[in-house]
Parts: sequence; structure tokens; C-alpha cells
Amino acid sequence: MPFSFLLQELHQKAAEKIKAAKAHRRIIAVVIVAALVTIAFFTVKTNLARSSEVGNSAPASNIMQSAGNAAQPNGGNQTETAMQAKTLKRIENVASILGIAVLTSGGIIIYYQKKKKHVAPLPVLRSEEETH
Amino acid sequence: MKQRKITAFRIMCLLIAVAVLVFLGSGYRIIILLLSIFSALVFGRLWCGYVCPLGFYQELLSMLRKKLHIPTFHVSLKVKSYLRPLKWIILVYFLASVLFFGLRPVMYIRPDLSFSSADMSIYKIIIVGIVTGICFLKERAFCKYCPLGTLRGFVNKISFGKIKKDGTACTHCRACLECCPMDIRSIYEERNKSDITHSDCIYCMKCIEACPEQDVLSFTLFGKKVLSSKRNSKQVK
Repeated sequence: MPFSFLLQELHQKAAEKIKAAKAHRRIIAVVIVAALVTIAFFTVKTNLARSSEVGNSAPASNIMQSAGNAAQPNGGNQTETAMQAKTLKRIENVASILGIAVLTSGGIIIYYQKKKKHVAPLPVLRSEEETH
Repeated sequence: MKQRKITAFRIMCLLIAVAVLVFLGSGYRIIILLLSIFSALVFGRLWCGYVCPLGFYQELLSMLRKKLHIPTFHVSLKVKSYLRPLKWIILVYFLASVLFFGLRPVMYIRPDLSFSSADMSIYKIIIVGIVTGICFLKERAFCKYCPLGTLRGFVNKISFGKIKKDGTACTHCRACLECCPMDIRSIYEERNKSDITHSDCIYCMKCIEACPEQDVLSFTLFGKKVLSSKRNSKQVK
């Protein structure tokens, strides 16, 4: 009877520890993924910006340049580039907001988990003989 | 079932309000402002619980957190007492920037605009990001410090919507306090007064939903009882 009880207790404790470890791992995974996504996003964005700059400096030989744009050379391209830049800026804003949000919430979770684990030491009790 | 019904109704109201606000755009700003003032004068902070787009955004974040099984964090009473003046500081800053500088303050956050506008300052991005992060973990965290909410809260005590409590029948189970998104302690602690409408109350009715006792908590509108807590057979068993 006591042995089974001990075994049960051990199982319960192990399950609790595994659960806590899993939760912790999940949070760290989310933070890492967010950081990686942000880095990847900014890399792609920088590359895109660079390629668009190269495209603008090159001679106008775009297929999109139709008869409507004949009076205003490169006009269509410019609006398209402006739109692309706006969309990129919007995506960048959303990514930054989400990145900051994930970092904030991740930080709070980690802080509270550490606080939970930290056990304040009990005051040292001394006998009357020791104190006198 | 009752719980789902009230929450579903509230979420539906928020969804419709957000859709209307987004589709109306900026052309009807003055009408929205007048409606907001009228509703604040008559119903107090009911606007926060049923119309506010930022409230809806916070509700969505809370839902996402619950789906991901991420636990919320509990702020201790000591920290809460430190944070209490923040509400008034934000309100003073808000009023000063509106009245003296004629500016739309940085903290005036519209999530729909934040996610759609291309020209956002870095300060606003940081504020929206931090607010999103905190509201993800703590339900309606921004509402506790919202300057507009604080202004509406002044009218809560004299508004026509009231939360009432029958202190003699209360079993002190703390269910109301545990589920309150605004962390209003007086719902649980009040024993003698029947009117327990707090200036922070957004009339989400979660306390009434959670209360397991018959008619202990109720919501009255113009003096008429509209909603009341019902005995939960599952909890009694």
C-alpha cells in the first residue's frame, strides 16, 4: 500500500514536471520563431528594396509600360513601386508590432515563471538559549 | 449555455460595431463621437464592453491565448497599488494633449488603423506592440488605464445601467472576482450595499454568468431587472 502510494506520488510529480517543462519549451519556441520570422522578414524586405532600386536605375524596358504610359514615361512603374513600398511598409509595421508583442508577452511569462519557481527562504528560527 | 449566450451576444455586438466603424471610415467621425458621448452619459462604460474596437481587439487576443492554453498572470495587490496612479497620469496627459495642443495623443490606439496605415511613427508601433503583448496575457489590460474609459467611468455611478447584489444570499465563492476582467474587488467584498456598480465596470456580465446562486447578482436597466444569475445545476451537483 505505501509503495503504491509512493509510486503514485512519483508519477504525479514527474507528470507535473514534464508539463511545466513542455509549457516552458513552448514559450521559448514561440519567442525563437518570432525572432527568426522577424529576421527573415527584414532580410527579404532589404533584398526587395535593393532589387527595386536596381530596377529603377535600369533603362525603362518593362513589359508593363503600355500605350497609356507613353505620355508619361515610367509613370506606371512609379505608382506601382510606390504601392509596393506602401504595402511593404504596412507589412513591416504589422511585423514590428507582432514582434514587440511576442517579446513583451514572452518576457512577462518568463518573469512570472521564474518568480513562481523562486521560493522565499523561511526565517531562521532560533531557540531561546541561542538568542540569550 | 447561459454563459455562452451572453458572451456570444457581446462578441457579436463588438463585431458589428467594429465592422460599422471600419466601413463608415473617418467621414462619420462626429456622429460616432456624439453617439459615444450620449452612450457614456446614459449607460456609463457600456460602450467599452459592447462597441469599443480596442476592446474587441483585446477580447480576440484573450481568446487566442485561451486557445493556445497559455495561462494568464496575476498581478499582486502591491503592484496594483503602484499602478493605480498610472490611470490618472494617462488621463491628465490625454486631456492636456487634446485641450492644449489639439493633438490626437499617441496612446489613442485604433488597432484597425494600426494594422492598415503605412505611415506610423516608431513610438506608436512600440506602444501598440507593448499593449498587444500585455493584453494577450491579461484580459482587458488596456481598459484599466484607458483615458476614455476613465472619463466614461465617472458617469458609471449615475448611469441607468446598474449591477446589483443580494449580499445576504451570496455564498462568497469568489466566482465573480475570479472571472472579472477588470479585477473589481468590490463585487466580491461588498456585503451591505445592493448597488455595486463600480467606475471600472464595463458591463461584460461575466460576474452574473459565473455566479452559481439564484438572483444574487443582477443587471438592471432603467430600474428594471434585465439579467440575473441563475443556479447552476452542474455546480450544485
